[in-house]
Amino acid sequence: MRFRILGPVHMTPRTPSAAKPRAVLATLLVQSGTVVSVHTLIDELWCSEPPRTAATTLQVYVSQLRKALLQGEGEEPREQALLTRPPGYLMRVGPDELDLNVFESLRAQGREAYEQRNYAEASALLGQALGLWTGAALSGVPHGPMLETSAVRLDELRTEVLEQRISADLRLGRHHELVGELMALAHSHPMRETLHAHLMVALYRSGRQSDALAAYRRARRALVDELGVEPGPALNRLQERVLAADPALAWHEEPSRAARPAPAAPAEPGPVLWLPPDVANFTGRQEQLALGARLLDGDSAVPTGVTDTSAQGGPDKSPMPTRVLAVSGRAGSGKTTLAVHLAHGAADGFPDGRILLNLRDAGGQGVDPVRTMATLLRRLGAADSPGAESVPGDIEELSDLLHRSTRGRKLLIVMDDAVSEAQVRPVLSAVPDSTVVITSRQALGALEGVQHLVLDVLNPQDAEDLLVAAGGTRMAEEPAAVTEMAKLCGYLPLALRVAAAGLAARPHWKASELAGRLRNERTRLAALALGDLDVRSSLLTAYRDVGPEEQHAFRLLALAPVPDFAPWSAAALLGTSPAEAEQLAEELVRANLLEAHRSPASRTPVRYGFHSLLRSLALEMLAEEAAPAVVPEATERLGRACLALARHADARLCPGRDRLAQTGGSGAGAELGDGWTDAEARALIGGSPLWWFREEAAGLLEAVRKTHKAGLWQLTSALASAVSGYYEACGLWDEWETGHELALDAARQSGDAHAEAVVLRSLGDLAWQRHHAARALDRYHLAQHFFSRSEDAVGAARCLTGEADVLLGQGHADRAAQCYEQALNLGRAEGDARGAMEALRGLAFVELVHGRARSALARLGECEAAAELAGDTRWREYARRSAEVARAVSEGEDGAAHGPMPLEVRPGVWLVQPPSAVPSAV
Amino acid sequence: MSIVPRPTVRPRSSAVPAPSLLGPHHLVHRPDTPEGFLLQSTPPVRQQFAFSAELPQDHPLFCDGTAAFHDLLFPLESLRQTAVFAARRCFRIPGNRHMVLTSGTTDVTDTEPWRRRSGSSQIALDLGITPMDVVNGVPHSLSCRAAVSIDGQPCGTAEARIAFPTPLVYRHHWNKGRMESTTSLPGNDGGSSEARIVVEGRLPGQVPAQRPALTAHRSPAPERVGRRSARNVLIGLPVQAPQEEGTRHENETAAGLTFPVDLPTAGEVLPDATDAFTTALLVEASRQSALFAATELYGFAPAHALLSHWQASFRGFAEKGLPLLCTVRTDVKDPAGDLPRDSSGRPYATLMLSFTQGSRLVSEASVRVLQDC
Repeated sequence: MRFRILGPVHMTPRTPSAAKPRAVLATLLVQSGTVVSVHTLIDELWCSEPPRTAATTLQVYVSQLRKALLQGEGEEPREQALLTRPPGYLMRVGPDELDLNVFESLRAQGREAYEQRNYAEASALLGQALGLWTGAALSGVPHGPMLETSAVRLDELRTEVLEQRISADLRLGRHHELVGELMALAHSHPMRETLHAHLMVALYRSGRQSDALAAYRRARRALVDELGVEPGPALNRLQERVLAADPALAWHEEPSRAARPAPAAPAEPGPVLWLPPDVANFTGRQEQLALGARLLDGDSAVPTGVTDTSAQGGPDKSPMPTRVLAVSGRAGSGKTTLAVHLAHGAADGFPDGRILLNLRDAGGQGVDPVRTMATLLRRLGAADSPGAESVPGDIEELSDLLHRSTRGRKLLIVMDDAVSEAQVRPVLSAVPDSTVVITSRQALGALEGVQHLVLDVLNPQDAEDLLVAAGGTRMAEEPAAVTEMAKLCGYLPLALRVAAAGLAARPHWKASELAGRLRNERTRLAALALGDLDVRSSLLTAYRDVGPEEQHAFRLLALAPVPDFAPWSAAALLGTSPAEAEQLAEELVRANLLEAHRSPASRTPVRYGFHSLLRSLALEMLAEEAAPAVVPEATERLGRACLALARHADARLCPGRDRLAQTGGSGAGAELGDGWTDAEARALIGGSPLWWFREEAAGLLEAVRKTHKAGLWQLTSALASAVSGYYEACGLWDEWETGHELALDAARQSGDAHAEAVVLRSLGDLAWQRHHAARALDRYHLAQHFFSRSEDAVGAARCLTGEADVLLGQGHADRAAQCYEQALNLGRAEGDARGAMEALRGLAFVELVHGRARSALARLGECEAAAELAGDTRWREYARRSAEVARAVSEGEDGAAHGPMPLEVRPGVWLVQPPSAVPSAV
Repeated sequence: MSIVPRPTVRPRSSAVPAPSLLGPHHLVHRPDTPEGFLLQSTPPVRQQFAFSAELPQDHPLFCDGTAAFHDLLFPLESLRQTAVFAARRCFRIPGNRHMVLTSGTTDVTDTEPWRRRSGSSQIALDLGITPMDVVNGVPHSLSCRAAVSIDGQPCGTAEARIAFPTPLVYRHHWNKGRMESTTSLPGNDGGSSEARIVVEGRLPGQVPAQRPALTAHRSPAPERVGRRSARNVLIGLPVQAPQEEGTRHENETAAGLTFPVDLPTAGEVLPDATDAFTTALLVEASRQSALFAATELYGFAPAHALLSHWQASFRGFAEKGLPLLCTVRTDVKDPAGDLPRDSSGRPYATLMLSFTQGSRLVSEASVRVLQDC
């Protein structure tokens, strides 16, 4: 090489020592073959301040150059390379004399080879081109405008060639070797996104996913700090693909057209590897992994049957060994991740290869078996004979060919996202010697000789561990936020990974901030989306797989109580018969859109519920797709059904208590069994109304909220009143207050004085239970006023009893006695056995306070009789217990030895008085 | 143990029964079985209760705080009283079994509801009581947990483990503890000491015939322990702990302060019920010692400090007739170092307390003093 400008300017045999002649040489070489004018040269040498003798001086420099060019060491005289051509000079060089020319030739050849996918040759040529460089372009000479521009251009050219060479090397699978070089390049060229992208790919393919993401972060930081811009779309997209562990990002050996012909005798084929990369932080699923590993090991002890690793269910073993593992579960439960993880860990057991086949196309439709088998053949054929190109189209021929190709070979085939048994059965038949793992959303129960594995969500600890493993130190620093996030994600692996990735991609967020974004149920799915990782889309695939009737049911059932609901709630919401509702619910369960629970302690055989994220989806779909009247109508149906059953249960729990049910007030369907016959209601509630209330309490309160929100005022008041007996009996203060505050508002909104009276009295009872005397009195007084306005003497009398209870607790026994007497008289006049019962109990305690135990016993006897008449077993037993206490007191037992005793003032409610406080009742 | 003689003897007020910690209140049993609902039948399994009472507005001790917070003792005492009720009524533990608190914990999870405001406030507890060590249907201990709310705002938790030993076991522990304490106290070996402690044994319920000379001691100003009235100061100024071998007292070091607990005064201001006495005594002595120590060590202002965490285990009984010492140590190696802060940026100090009588460890506690600001 005679002339070099790809580095320090150099000429053989002697480079001019003076800078300016070297600059003239460099300028002419850059423009070799073209005339460079004198003016250009003068500008280049002296820029805007040429001396008066610039032209003459230039001539001297040219003369010096000519002498140097003509010099040689015993060589034949060369032709003059430096020619005078008006209006300047021209440098004539041979094709191989100037390094730039050689560089450009190699660059062109390398590019062509690259385009022809001859990556090995491209890498070699481009590498040769880069090898011509000895330093920064045109270095060692002072730069004028032209040389400056040229130097920048040439350096850019060099970097482009470098990038293309690296790209060719990546395609050749040399990612491991490139990491070091790329790290240095990324450091020295922090603004070149392409280099950063190459580095990320090399790291990712080297199994260093987190380092790849770190490289992205460094690149982003450099761009933001130096230029104030975010990375471009290509780099961002690459980052998302790394986060998503995009299988296409993995290195797959590409068929390249080698310059050399294929060897006549092919070398022994290596294993076929066609798997996406394994996730770097696989967490949990120990039991499932153990089962899968045993099956892949060929453990004949692994039987066929179902292993349900959800909370319920257990293995159903039959003695046949199997080579097929079918993993099913809802979208996002990590079926593919599990299968891929198993496959990566089974390399030793499958020396002939491990291949993953997608059984759904880009549109989400199932791929037909013919295409699946053809794909499998091609992937097997790529490593076998180069001549195996044509694949038959007939399924029989395909099956035969596949059978021959896989016979005797230890192959693992993962069939991912199967839609049906019919889709996989032909393939399974064609690969009898291979071990197969099938993943599907619905369990492929009709496949025989298969070990089924049902994947549920992760347990809470594994879910939190996954968030921390995938989310990094910021997750680990806030364990409370991690716990909350795991719960808000419903412990669904996909949602957990998206949440973790979302945090990793946003260095300025804290874990607690992300948890805050997930709290709103209606926007949670929107927060669980990052690039093409989208939980909503994943869940929607299951929704779109079912028919329109099931989709309608899915949407409407979003209004059902949480955490679960009985079939009767479904029937009410859907406006169908219970049998139809159950059928639809079961279809949704099969499609993994709904969950079914069976609890041994539950009165209802099966209860249904949503996974939290699916409920969010259902609510979204309901908002998007339902007509305006749908939700209010469904809410009313549900409210009425709840009311009917609650009243039925309350009538058995606390007979005669609910004034709204007794008086037929509220106009909300007061007849018992509205929508249900008495027998149906009894069958639904079962033998224990207490247990029915306990199971349905959360749903009933939610129904109150919903009816209130829907403006169904009378239904709201009636429903709250129907449940308050249960709240009172079990001291459920918070629920009681919540429901009744809504009911009070509803009564006032509707101007229903009677409903307001009933609710106020119940709130008075609540305040009394809470020993909040002043508030209780206020409410009883106000309720009494409204009862009087509504001409409900029974209700007004019961308020008097409540007031008397407060007075008695404050030690005003005589005033309490007056109220009790008045209440008793009114109750008896109205034929209210319950009212009389409560008043008689109060009068008994007044007698006890005054030391008249015998009178107290008499009153308690009357109270017991009234309870019997009212049909209230609980109060009857309470009256008997109180009588025993009174009897013991009158006989001097349990007297002063232990001081004043707590007094059961109502069933299950004890008044405890300190020794130095107001004298106790005993 | 040597006690620094005090120059003045604080006059004792005439004995007035201390008012009960809790006023009248309701306790609601929450049945979850048909038999529990209908018959109040309670097998020896977990039972749920709801407790509600008005917080006192004029208690001579617990409304005497310089810091305007409701007292942390209330939830513990509510828990204890409910447990006693449940023991007798629900779990049929015989009346001749004494109740012994073996461990207790209470936490403030939100300080705002604990601030005292004008007007009345209601405290409510959502309690679960689980019988443990059930023999022939009768539990020997109860495990109690409660969620605390004030005026409807969740603001704390309380836990307690309560044992009901048989009378024989109870007497044995009492006697053994008394013996260990009395033999280890100075003055019982015949040697001289500046302040002889007259030690006597007594059975529960008996009034000591002679008060110890420890009552003649100097007490800190009430403001230093978070009280307004000197009558309510239950601890003395820090003392020099003894150097003798075999004692449980630690020397006063840069990380520890030892306070004598004024048992006679405590007997006057705290409710005179043995079971309640020990809990109330130890909580109040813990608070006063911890506040004093927090002021000395960290410059806390007692009028703006509250105990946000108290956790104690009880090893034995605090004999009224024997001197009781409370030693406070810091949990931080370098007292001059930065204190941790809560989510609102308020500093808090974690202190370790041990209560001893002679060589016997009566109780160990961990408390957190929060500087409200």
